[in-house]
Amino acid sequence: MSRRRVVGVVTALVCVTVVALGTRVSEESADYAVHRAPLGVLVDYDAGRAGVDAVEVGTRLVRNGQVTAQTTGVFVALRLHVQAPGTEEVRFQQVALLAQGSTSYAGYGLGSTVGAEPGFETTRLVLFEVSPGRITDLTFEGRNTKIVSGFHQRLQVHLGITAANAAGWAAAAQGREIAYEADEVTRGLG
Amino acid sequence: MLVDIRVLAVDTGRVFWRLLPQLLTLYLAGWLGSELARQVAVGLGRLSAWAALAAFSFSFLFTLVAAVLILRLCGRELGIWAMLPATETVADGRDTSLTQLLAVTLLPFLGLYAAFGQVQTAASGLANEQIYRGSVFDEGTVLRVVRGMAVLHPWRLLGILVGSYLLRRLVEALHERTGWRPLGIIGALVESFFLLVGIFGGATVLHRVTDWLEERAFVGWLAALRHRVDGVLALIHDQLPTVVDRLAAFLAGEAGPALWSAVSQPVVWLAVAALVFGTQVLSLADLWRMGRPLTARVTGASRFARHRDKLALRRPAAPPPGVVRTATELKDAFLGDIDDKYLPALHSLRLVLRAGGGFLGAYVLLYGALTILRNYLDRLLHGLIGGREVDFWFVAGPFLDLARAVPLELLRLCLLAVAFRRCLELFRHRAADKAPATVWGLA
Repeated sequence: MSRRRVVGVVTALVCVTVVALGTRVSEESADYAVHRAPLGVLVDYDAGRAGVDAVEVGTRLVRNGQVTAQTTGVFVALRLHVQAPGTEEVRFQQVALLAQGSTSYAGYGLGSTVGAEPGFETTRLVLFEVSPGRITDLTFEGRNTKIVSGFHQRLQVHLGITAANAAGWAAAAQGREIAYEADEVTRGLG
Repeated sequence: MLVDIRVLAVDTGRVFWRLLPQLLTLYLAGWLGSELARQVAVGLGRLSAWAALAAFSFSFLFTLVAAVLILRLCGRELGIWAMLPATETVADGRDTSLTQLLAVTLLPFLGLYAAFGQVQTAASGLANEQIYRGSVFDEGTVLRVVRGMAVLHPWRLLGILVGSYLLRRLVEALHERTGWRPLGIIGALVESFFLLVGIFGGATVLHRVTDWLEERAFVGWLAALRHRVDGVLALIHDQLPTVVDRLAAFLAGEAGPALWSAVSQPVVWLAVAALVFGTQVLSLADLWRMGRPLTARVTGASRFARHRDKLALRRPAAPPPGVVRTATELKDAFLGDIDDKYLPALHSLRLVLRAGGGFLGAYVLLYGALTILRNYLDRLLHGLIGGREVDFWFVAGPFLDLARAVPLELLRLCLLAVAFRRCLELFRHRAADKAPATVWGLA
């Protein structure tokens, strides 16, 4: 094989590698846009507003004075507020708690979607059961994906549990009860 | 290689800018026809999945016609046919008639769209729209019906494939005899339908075959062998099996597909686009590549010649009478497709691959740059628009696709034409280098 041909082949291989790397780097990795919100603040989401607050941890769930569930892990409870001030409903089809690495916890006992009809605000208690060793940087994530969906929004709210205070949160959860009366409260927007 | 990069980049820009109004007109007309056909397919899906598939085939035909016309326009601007020596120019209906050109290019273009996932993406989009407008429990989506038939009634699907193939041959024969142009379009449409049924049904059959293979005992033997190899590697170092597994997974799952896509897409597209410029140009390019400065004047001698011409060259006598003749004609009817459609694409690929490493590297680099630009344009549009409900995407999606495609798809088609012209120049240069030197001597 002549020197010229070898140089040509090597050049072509280098170009192919550069293009492959460039294409990989430039590809959009996700089919959604993340909308980050601070804890306790309502932000714009789809056609309305949504936010998360009142984070609690415990190992027992109590409803109307009765213990409904216990865990050797940790229950994380938070209030999800969804407002639909316009003419379209605002809904979360799926909620999850994202933990370190690629761990994702589905809603505990959550049988339906969380949403608000036009002109209403819905506040829903959302529960998760997590491992006490994996509560650092727990982040709530809610999305409105259906069987067919396009490039959609995902709401993410960091719950304020960092590496510095994670041990404190886990210790505080031990033996603590999370009491609640109703799963969901709906009120009209003024 | 730097010279090639400069020539390709500058000429692509020049052709794009000079022909922009015509390119836009052709592309928009193709896009409009394709979108209308797609919407008709969505509507027909409620009545019949097969009718929807026929309308869906039409949408690819519009896209293909636009691409072929754009490539021919660019080829004319670049003077590709002017490179043919005047003595070698022979009128050939296949090189001038649009319907004949569609017949030659439809199969490789659709094959490319299928190989790089665009047919499946379009079919999934069609199915999603049918679900969105109807119901998730709707059984009539095109994909479900064809794939369902491939699983439950494979012989029926084979019957549909054979029937549509025979119908296409009949339409082509009528077109050749009568010269009535609409028959050419109908033939292309029937072939498009045949190819799409083949692609969707064939993919399902292939899955069944791979599923069946995975249940065979020899797959277990291979797994046991791999376990043995891991054991041997563990003797060298206990982490070695994990390292080897991860390296293999990275090469097979990430690096391999990325490198393959980076090289195969541009090269195969160039080979298929070259078919648009006609068999005469390709025959000449092939001869130049081999160092022969003149086209062989013998009709049927070239790799790109029509099957009929090749046959006439090999068998100058009249075909034998009776049953033998019928059998010969039938054989030629099927083998004719191979010579007229499959082999030209293969020979075109071989031609392009021999243009030289420097040229291929430059071309792959520029083609890849367009792909990367397209990805960043996607990100920019999503960043500007943000996440939205699916209703928004079904309405705005086609227009956003158009906004993405208009600059970059037109540049890509211009680059294909410019790259092929550069190939011709390189081959002609090679033929000139190898031409025998004139020897002056005493009389």
